[in-house]
Amino acid sequence: MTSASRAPSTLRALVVGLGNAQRRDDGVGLVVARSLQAGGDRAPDVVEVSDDLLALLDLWAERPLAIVVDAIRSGRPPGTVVRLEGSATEAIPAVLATSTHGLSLADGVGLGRALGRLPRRLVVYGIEAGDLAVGWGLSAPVERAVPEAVAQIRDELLRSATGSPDRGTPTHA
Amino acid sequence: MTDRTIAVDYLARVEGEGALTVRIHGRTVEDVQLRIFEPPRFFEAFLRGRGYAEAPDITARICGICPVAYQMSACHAMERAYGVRVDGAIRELRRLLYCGEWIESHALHLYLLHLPDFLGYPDAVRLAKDHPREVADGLALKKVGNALMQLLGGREIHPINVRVGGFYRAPSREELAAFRPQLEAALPLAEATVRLVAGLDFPAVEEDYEFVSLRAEDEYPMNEGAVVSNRGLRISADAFEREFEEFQVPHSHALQSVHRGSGSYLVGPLARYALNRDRLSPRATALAREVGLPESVRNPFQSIVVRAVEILYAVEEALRILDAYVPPPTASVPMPVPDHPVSGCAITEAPRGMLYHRYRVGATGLIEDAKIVAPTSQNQKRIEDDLRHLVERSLDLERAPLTDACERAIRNHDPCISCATHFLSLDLKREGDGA
Repeated sequence: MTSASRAPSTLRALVVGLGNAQRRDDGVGLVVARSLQAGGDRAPDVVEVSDDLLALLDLWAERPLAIVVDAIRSGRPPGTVVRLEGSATEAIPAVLATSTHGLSLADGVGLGRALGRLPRRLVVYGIEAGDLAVGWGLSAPVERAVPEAVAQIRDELLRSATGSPDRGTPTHA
Repeated sequence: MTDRTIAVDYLARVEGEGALTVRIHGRTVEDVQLRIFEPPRFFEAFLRGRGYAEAPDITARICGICPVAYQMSACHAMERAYGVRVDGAIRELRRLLYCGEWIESHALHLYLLHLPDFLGYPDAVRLAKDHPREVADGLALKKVGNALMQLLGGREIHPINVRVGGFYRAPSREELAAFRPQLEAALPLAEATVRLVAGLDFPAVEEDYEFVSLRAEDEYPMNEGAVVSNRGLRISADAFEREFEEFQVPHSHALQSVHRGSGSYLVGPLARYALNRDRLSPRATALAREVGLPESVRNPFQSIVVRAVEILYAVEEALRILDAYVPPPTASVPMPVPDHPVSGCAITEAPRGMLYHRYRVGATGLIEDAKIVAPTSQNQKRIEDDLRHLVERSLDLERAPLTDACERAIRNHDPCISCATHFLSLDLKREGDGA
């Protein structure tokens, strides 16, 4: 499912929540995205993507900043928030193949790079998953990580909007 | 409601699980087992107790790539159960929606999953690095298909505008006319796709398929037609379960299908083309001839060309429907209030081939029994036959190239486990391997 909160603008930052709400912690990206959407007038464009990652190529192309929020599994304690930018985003495997035909976020980034359809800056916030069983709701440690991830992303959006120096390098090196 | 969606998305996510076991004794291939996790089985159980009108939206969740096929087969089966005929502009809109799905599904498979095999790339990303224009063209085609599904279905992935009897809302003439430039732009892309894939190198393979598809009166088949084969079969959907048998195999919880008395058979683009080539649109016909596509394609690797021809057909057909469109007086045909038990079945042509739905509905309109036979289930045994022949021809290959060859042979048929073939585990057991 891909649903935009409003007509995408090429000028605004975009937040993409990735995941499947029916696989417990895999839905954390969607939960974080919804929290950011509830930010009133200052909210970024927010989309939730569960199926067709190819849609990202059109959604994020030419944006000054796109932030993707997804569950990850890297061996860290559940609920750990990890920030990746630039080439590091291509190394990140999805927790579960997010799209039906197995195109992962890394594939989306790789295709975007090959076709010149990446945002000017792409940042991925990964939240370490604990429970990926079939079912609703986040596990306790992942639930507790949501406010932290939301705060970090709000801060990142603010720094981007005010032109403050960021920690990463541009996507187009 | 909650319970319904839980299992639905779980199934959509894991639809990509498959594994292959080949057992070789000396120079004899003793066994080939393709294991597919098959979602429809579970849906048959969820459907029991749901209202008949829910079937299109519930079954659409079986597949994120071909939801329209599930909606169409469900709608037609329910309409036949209640004796309702949907015709005119609503019928044409359904066909237009199906065109969108064929374009989207075929373009995805052709460019991102199948083409890398022929050009020597492990995946679409590395293909795109060297051939960005071709991949961009493929994505542009896919986008037109998605946009058509969004226009008619309300959204791209699981359309929400389809109902038993028709649609919740029919588009205006102006809305469809505004879409024409996108289809016009897709036409040269589709033609270029046919030329591109016709020029690929194909392994010299001929399989003796029994092709089975729908055949309609005067059009390339999508929503209706008799079930026909290249071996003289001609039946209605009602006779499908008498003619074709699903059975359990020990190595898989998925069911396999055979044509009773003759064995495995093939559904999908190769079958549709072989049995309906004379129903293609003018440009698709001309281009198939120009690139030298045989009247019946028995080389499974050339299915990529047939898919390209079907994309071109779907673009032309969409333009034809769009130009002739006059909105229906009502967006759907009214369904009767259920007051007695009914049953009905229907077959439509999903991008991957015939999709059979049968329902029994009780007097209060609740579904009592459902049966769904997906194209991948029907092709599973035939894919195993292709694999067996391939392995028999390739016994001297090392494990890695043989694994690659097997994965390619599976991808030729774009099974709903196409995704899985990227991480297909091949368990190759040779006598003397100690395995």
